[in-house]
Amino acid sequence: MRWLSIVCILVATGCTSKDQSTPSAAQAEPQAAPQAKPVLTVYSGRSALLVEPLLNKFAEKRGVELKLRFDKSTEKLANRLAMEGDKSPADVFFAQAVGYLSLLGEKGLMHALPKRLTEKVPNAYRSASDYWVGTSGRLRVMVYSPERVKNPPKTLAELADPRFKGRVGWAPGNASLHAHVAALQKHWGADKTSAWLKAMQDNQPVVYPKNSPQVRAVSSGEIDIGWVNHYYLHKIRAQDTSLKAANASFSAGDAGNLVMLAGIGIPKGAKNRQIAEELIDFILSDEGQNYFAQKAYEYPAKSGIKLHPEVAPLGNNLLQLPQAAQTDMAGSLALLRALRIQ
Amino acid sequence: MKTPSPALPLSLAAKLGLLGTAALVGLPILGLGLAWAYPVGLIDAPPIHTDRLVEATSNTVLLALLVTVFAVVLGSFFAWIQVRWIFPGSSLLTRLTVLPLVLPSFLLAATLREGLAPLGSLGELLGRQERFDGFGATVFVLVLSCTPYVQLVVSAALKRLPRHTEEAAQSLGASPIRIVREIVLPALRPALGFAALLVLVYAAADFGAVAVMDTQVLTYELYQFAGRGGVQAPLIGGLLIVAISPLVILGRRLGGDYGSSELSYVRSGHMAGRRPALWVKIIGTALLGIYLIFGLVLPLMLITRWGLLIPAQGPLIGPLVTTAVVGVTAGLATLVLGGFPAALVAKSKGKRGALETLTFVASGVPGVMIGFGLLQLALRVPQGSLRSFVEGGAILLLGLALRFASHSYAALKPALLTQNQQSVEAARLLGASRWRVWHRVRGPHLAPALASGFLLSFVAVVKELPITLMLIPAGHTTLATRIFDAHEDAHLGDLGVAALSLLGMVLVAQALLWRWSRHER
Repeated sequence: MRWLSIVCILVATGCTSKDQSTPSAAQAEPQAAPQAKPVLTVYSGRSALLVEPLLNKFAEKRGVELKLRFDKSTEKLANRLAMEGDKSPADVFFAQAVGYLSLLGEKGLMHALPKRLTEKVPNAYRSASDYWVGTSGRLRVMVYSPERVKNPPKTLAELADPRFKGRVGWAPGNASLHAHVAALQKHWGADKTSAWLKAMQDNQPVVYPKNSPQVRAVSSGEIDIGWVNHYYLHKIRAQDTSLKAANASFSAGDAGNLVMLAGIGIPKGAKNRQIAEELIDFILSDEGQNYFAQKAYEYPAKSGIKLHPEVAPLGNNLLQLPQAAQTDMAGSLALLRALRIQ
Repeated sequence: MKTPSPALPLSLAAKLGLLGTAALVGLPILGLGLAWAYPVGLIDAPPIHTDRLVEATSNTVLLALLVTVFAVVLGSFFAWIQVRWIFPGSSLLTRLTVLPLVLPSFLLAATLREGLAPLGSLGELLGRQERFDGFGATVFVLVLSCTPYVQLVVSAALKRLPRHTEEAAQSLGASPIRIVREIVLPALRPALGFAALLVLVYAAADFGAVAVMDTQVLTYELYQFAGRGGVQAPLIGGLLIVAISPLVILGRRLGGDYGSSELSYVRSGHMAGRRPALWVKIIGTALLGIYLIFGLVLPLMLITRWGLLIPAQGPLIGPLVTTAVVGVTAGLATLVLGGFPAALVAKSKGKRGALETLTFVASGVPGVMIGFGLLQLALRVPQGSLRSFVEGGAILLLGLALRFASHSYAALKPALLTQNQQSVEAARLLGASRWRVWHRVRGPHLAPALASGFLLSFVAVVKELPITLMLIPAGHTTLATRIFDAHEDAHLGDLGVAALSLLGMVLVAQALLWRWSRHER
């Protein structure tokens, strides 16, 4: 029975401790915790390595304890939130693609954010119903091997050309791709989008769970072209200078040149709405926006923030489409599933 | 000396415990049922793709069969070299071939995929043009992962074979081939049967290698559909149970007294081996060498290079502490969940019954299925302190304990069965208190088995991926999940550092295990 009691002690002290770096904190709590820190639960579809340092900075400044749930799939995290409903422990939902925030908002599962927060960014970077506010942007690009691809595709449509059969990678489970397909449905229409996706599928693309491994796969020769967001190349190259890959945009105004937003919102069941708003305020502050620009190589949502020197400014060759065009996730997923892509 | 005595009737407490254990084992199934009956999703449930299910099921079966055939042939050959032959390097090489056991299949897959890519370390050297992924690559990785299991089981059985029968047959003029066919193979059949079923279940239930290699089998399909709503995921989960449970039950029947305790240590030392013909030496050395290059050298080389040369982005201390805490607590939990049925079986004087089958079936169910079932259940627990407790780690510990209870069971059962009841009764007659009987008689007898059971479970838990991935409390990361995430994020520096730490932890535990096993013997 002795080990049974050890199990109970360890369960109580180790696994239920809220901060992974201080497993003994719970043990010390009765003696040294006159005022327990408030707990803020954040669901994040953005990766831990990307946003955790920024969230920790807020926690330290504000004196709050964070409970972070990361999932590489924003779709799955949004589904979990929908399942938990207004009883969800989540105080904040940080989504890789704002479409899922819109979807949750339409189901009545998100609070409207106060104007003082949403008005920190331009109109184009926030929800019309104030369910979410954009935190940073990314450009959809292709990553390719300049050595093996002498004539990269000029348009997104050309990416499905048979000459690239078996040489292209994509991540059909990734929220960025879902959002891009939603935008294509608005821009091209359902039929053309469906035909293009089918042509892509017929070209036997290599499936990856996320965007970043496509960059690595181009460098290791697994594929010649990947369909990704711009910042992965910069982030991986910062670690590994031997990376053999380059980013390229499509021709001016092409459907491939899309800017996409990551966004944040407050779920209906939030217990700490006030602190959640403070977190959003921090993320939209100069400090938070500089973090996304300098550490994550992203485009800040707020005006007047300097870009990282390696990141090219957004030019005039972008596809001009409102952000709302990227939010029909249900339509996007329905099409991908009908074509057996997802 | 053991005194035969009739089986003791089970007390009410034992019966209640039995029912409780059965209920725990049934929890993932209950979760599966709830997900089927009440599918919840943000958008309309995805349709059920029957052809995709058929493809995943046939891939699962084919993968398991191919891995089993190759691993049994290769592992048996290595075991034969280890026990029966002697040539320069054979002893060292056959000791090294069991070391890939410390590498989780997802880590092996991740390193080989990167190393054998057209421009990878070895891929470029070999002039490879194709990427290393998909079904064939998965078979290759799982054969590498499973061969040590076969080698351990078969070499242990080979060492137990009485040599005099073979020597008599040899003196009567029987050829070596005839001796193997008519004496050795029939004697090895239970060991080979157990090893084959062990590999079959391992390959059918694997999640890590298939996920890294993007192979559409049932476990990976379940993982992909889990969390999307709809009934596709519980349907796949049901198919997995239907496909694997009979294999586990069959394995228990065919395997007889073989169990995972056979895998608890490497029995060192050679019996009097003979020197084989030159061509056999060449083939044997070549196969051992190739196996070690792909199963050990290349993965270790890449992990070390990534860990040392590419800067990691995330801190390591959190995953390290979480892994240690989860490993220790779940290891202890498996002692409880595996020790209880072992004690009951010992009390009934070794009569194996439904409880033992239940323990092994639970452990044979793929981790991804246990994770999915328990997650569905946890999400349906109303908010409040119970939900916090469940999501705070209890559900993870339960999942891991269910998955690995058979490790503790297999380690504890022999020790409990061989307890000398006469010594216990003598101590009591001499006035020893219950505590003193435990301290001086039962405890010392059970300690090595408890340590073995705990360490076996600890090693399995820290390497485990799908249950941990699905049930880990918010804010926590283990080394295994860090490796998996880092691979998906292409952060090779983080992957390398986490992998080196995990291997260090496993090697320390394995070294302790070998030490305890020697003590046990």
